[in-house]
Amino acid sequence: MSLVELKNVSKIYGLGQARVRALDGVTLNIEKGEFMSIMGPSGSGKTTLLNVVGCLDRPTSGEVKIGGRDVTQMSVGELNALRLRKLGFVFQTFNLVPTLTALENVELRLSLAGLNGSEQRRQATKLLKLVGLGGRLKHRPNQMSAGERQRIAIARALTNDPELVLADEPTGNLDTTIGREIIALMRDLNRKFEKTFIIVTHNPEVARTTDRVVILKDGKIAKEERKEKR
Amino acid sequence: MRLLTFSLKNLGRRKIRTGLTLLGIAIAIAFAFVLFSVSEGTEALVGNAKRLGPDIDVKIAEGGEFQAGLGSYLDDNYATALAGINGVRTAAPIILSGATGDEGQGFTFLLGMAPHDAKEIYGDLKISEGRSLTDNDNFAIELGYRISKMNSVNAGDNFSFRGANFEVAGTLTETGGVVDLFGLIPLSTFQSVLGTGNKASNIWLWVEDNENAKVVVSEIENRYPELKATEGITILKQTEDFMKFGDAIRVVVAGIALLIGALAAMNTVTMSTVERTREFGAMRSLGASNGYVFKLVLIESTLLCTIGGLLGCLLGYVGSMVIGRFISNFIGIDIVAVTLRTPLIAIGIAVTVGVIAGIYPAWRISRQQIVESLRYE
Repeated sequence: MSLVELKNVSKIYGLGQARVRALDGVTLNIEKGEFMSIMGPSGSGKTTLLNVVGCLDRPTSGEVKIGGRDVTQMSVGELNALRLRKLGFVFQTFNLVPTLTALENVELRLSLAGLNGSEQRRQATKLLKLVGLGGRLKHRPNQMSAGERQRIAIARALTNDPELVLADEPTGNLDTTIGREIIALMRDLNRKFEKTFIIVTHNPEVARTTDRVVILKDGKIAKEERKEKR
Repeated sequence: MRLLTFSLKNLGRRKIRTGLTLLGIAIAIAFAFVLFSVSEGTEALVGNAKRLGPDIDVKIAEGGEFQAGLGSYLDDNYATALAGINGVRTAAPIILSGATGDEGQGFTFLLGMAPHDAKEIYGDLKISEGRSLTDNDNFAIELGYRISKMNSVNAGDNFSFRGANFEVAGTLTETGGVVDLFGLIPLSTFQSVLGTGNKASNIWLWVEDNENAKVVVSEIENRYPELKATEGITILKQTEDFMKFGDAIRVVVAGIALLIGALAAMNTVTMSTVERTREFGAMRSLGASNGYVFKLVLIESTLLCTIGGLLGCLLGYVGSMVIGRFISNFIGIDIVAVTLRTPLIAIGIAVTVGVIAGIYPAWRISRQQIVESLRYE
């Protein structure tokens, strides 16, 4: 059983003449521990696909299973719980809470999972050390570099031990060197902890670091490239 | 991370905007606080007014003769006739008139009444200095606490008005009510100063049994159609109704102030949530439920208004003290009273305003689709 199974998934926005088929019959399986990327030109459906896999959006038709469970039939509450426990997100613009410290930003999601204060602190500290921010726990996002902010976002995505991390253009706001460091960090976490990463990117260099590249065009999978796991 | 801590931190994002909104709410609450204090004060004053007044007030019915300073007047011999009605304990002719002292003394109320009748009113009031009036006194006056303090007169001093000099026989202890503003002088002296002969403005009756007051009133009106008799309780009720009217106006004014405060709070919370649309989208994508986001915004709004309410109570307390002191110095009555009820009501209103102001922005942001929130620019 694959971690993520998409069967003939379509997503249509708008009505009548304004209908846009963002995804058009996508079938895709993603295995646990994969480190893959999704590429394609603007408007090809990359982010829509990520949103559907991340249970942020429901497909118009087709079947989406995560861990064998059909998420299209789940209630809003069940989807919230699934995102909280099984998924992690990393965004291009980090989307951190500016008034909270790095530690508090990571603790926030742990608190949503119902952990007590000391356990939140212990786990958040551990995760921030893991992404190399052990010395910056009390700093606020605006006191940190873009690369450091993305590291906080990665630590936050790893809270509650998710099986799948979805990253939407994680290097889009970073310079080349820092972008490489961030991808290297994700790769490291993938290898050490067998976390599954799906990275949406425009950047071929980022895509080259992944084991599998799915290229979308007009909402359809146009090409798929795999390479041997190192 | 507790919701409350998180909400507090969120309020600190836009310090100037939050500060200005807090100030707006604080001013609205302070305004309401002062108006409530005035209501409390006037309520206490009405309660105190029960000390001054008869069981039945008798005046000449409409169309009687009128004299400046006395109003429509009646012959004081009516008192003897009214005293003969079954159930009447005391029938006292009185003159009640406002007056200003001749030597820059402030406005006061003068009650002309035979000293032996005045025991019905003043019997349970304590003399602070000097003595009570007796039937042997002529140009003597017994002053209420406030009027004696305002004019800095003590027992043995002179108090003059309309060219007549009165010796202050005694001063009363403070009651906090209108009695403090009254000066009692013998009826016959008041009549001679006003030059009214044996006329009185009213005749006040005290009955043996309050249950019988209604019966006595109808008996008077049957026997003497030229007179109008009103139960004291009715006068008090009319006063209370008047006070209620004042309260209604105060509630409306305070309500408008609070509505403005609520709109300011709603505007601030709405702006704040709109600015953070993507952040809320990210929170939802990380597993925060609609309910969590709703509660977060609602707590922010409630906190904003509660803090504003606490500041407003402080401002309102200071304002009430200042206004109370000013009015007390000016007219001599304490019409402002701060009781524990006032800040409790003020805080209760602030919390309610916060909840109401937060419902719409909380509902709006918690219902928004996650993908739309994340796309928000």
